[in-house]
Amino acid sequence: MGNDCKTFEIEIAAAGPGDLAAEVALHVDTCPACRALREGALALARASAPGEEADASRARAIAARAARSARRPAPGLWAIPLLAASASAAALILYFGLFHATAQGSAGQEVEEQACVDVSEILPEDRSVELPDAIRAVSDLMMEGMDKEVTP
Amino acid sequence: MTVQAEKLIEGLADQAGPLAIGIALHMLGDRSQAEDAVQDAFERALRAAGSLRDPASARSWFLRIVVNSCRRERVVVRRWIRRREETGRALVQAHAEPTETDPPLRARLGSAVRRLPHRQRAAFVLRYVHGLGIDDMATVLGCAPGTVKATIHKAVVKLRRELGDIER
Repeated sequence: MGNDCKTFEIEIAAAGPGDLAAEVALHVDTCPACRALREGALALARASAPGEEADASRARAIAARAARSARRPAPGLWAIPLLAASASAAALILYFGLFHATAQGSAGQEVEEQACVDVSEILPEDRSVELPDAIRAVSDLMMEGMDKEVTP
Repeated sequence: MTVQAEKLIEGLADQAGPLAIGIALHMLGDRSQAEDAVQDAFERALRAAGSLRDPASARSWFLRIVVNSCRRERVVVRRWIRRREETGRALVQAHAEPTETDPPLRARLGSAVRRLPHRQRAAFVLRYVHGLGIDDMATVLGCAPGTVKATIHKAVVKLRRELGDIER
């Protein structure tokens, strides 16, 4: 490729499958390197020929889809009330799920303690109540102790 | 979104829609990616319709948006592909039948075109596949006609080097 080629090779590549300017065509006829470039460009153009192309109806469908998408409000506008609602719901769940359950737990413990006291008071009076052996044994021991204290 | 913007998009879909899909398809190599890129371009065109001063240049203006959308689409897809490429290649190699023939020239060319840098790829596709004129391409690519020619030349040199047997 000679010095002249530098000025022509860009024109040859840019012409693609199109016609060359008269001056360029003349050079291509006489220069093997530039002829090879021209042949290469034409071969690339042949291999690049568009295959099956989309029709206008497909393009219209895509444009309609884009218009529908553009009509939707921007995420920032509708997301604000949604986020606020989610945060409130989360706070409520935390309150009822965590703090309320703890409060219920301590109240339950209090009732259990009261029940224990009641049982120890009732046992000496009501002996007909069916009790597990371990509790009966404890209550008998307690009764014995009370008897000893009463008897001098 | 104004009524005028919607009318403009409808006109563009008829006037340049199939060409836009064709350009995106050759730049990205996948129909669904191409349609995503064109939809993105339509959405951007709807939002930017007010900035179009000369309605006569709407086609080139829209094709420019399409070329830019292809660039964005490619970046997203490339990240996804890179993560799966290694696994995919191993699977293909493990199950490939031994073959005597090379992949068809058209497929090799498509693959080589998609390896070109964005601007060279766009220039090659617009000129060699869709036959756009140099001045039209200068508007679409946003550069001088001389730069367009130089960019096409670089793309052609690279493709000839990569596809050595294309002239046979």
